[in-house]
Amino acid sequence: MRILLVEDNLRLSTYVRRGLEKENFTVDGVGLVTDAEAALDTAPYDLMVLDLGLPDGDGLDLLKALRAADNHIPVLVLTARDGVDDRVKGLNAGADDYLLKPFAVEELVARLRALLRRPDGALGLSLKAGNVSFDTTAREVRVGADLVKISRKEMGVLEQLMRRAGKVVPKDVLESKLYGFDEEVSPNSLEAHISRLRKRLNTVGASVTIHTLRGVGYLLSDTEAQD
Amino acid sequence: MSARGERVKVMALMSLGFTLVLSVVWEFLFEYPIFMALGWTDRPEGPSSQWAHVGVIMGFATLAVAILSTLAVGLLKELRAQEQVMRLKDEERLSFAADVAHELRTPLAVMRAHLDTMDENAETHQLSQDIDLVSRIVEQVLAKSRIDTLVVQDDDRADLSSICASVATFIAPLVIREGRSIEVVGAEQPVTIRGHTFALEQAVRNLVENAIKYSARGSTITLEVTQTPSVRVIDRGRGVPVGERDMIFERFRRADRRGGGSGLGLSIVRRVVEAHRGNISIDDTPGGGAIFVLTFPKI
Repeated sequence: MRILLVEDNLRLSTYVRRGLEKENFTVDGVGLVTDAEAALDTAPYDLMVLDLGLPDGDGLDLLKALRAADNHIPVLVLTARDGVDDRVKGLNAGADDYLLKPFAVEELVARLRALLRRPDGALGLSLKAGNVSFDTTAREVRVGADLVKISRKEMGVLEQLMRRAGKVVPKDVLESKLYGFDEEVSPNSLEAHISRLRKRLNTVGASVTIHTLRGVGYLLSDTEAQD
Repeated sequence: MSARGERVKVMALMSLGFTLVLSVVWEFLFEYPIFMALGWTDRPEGPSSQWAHVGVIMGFATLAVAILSTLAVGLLKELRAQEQVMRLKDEERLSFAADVAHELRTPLAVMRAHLDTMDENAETHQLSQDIDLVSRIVEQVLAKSRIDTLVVQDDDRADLSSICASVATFIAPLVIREGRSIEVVGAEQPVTIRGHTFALEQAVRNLVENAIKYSARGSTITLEVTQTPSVRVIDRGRGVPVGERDMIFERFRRADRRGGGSGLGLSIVRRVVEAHRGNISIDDTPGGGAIFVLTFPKI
């Protein structure tokens, strides 16, 4: 995956680049709008990380020009300004995501992965959380190297939770993904699936936990990653 | 002339007209017949002298209205100038805070990214926590200056149920990482108040962050919405001693200075509640812990 990093602060650019390269991204760094334009013309990038305040112009203008020219490269905007207006301006100009400085490189990587995953779900996707991996094309769940047998509904639950690992999946969203319009859903049916899934993952030694947050939703966390 | 100045002029003219009508009615219908009936006047007065009475009254009335209008216009001008100065000061303060935040975030981002390239050990972990704390203070200073200039308009509406649900959804990952859990109760139906959503979210979020700091590991933080209308943020921890309950809302006052935090969180909460003409109080959770209750006027 080749990324164009447009950031004029040399030190920030160097460290972010190092962090991204560690995660196997190929990164080209530039610090000017003109250099960014030249780079976009010469190489096919999968994604652009764009700082807004650049010495020779505004990153937003570059972004607007790109979108006007029908270029749909995913763009993540980096900024030190967090006014709601600034955010709306960024998204209106065609940014796909928005990250406020300072940020953890880990967070940046997660956002970039999410953006790369987005286009039409074209990539055969393997989800991973802790020692659990989920092959969404083959519909296979593994804990470590071992294949785990899971019912269709439970697999659906696990997929949704793993797609948003570490974040809340509201109960109604989960239900709407799992049940058809004409399916009868009893109030506790989802909770029953979750509870069975939780038990199953527990027995096979999965290092993830499914949290039930009453009135909020469900959250799958990686227990290994926690202190 | 401004709209207010126009209004003063119209009111002055109206009061003059009203005085004219009243003095004519008084002179012709009341004063003369009464004086005649009481025998206080020995020679009948003609209409010309009655008009002279009206003229004298009108003269005084015009003088009074002119003086009052001049005073009122001057006062209004002064008030407007003061408002303008206050607004400029607020804007200046807000943009200063935004500039400070902007300038601090870039070096913080450099430090953070530099740390992230190093191998993780106890020292980098501590440094990274320090950077998080400084970043949080920067955010809170900015939030504080935004909220200091907050004015809730009469037609602003906010739904306490969706505010609690969205704060809980946003903050749940942090709550789980910190070894606690969070739940929202009573939020099935909307509870609408006259309010500013962003500011209220900020207040509830600050209370939950406070609850994370002072509750026991493994416990649950509850956000309860009631029809009163109120929001109760309930934690299970050591609670807040009665003697400290007023003090903790002051800025840079912390019950435990080792706990980290910006020292601005609860003062922001109080300011938000005051801007909504609401009320904040602290109770004990049965079995240990604190309940922060935010109560708002009904609409």
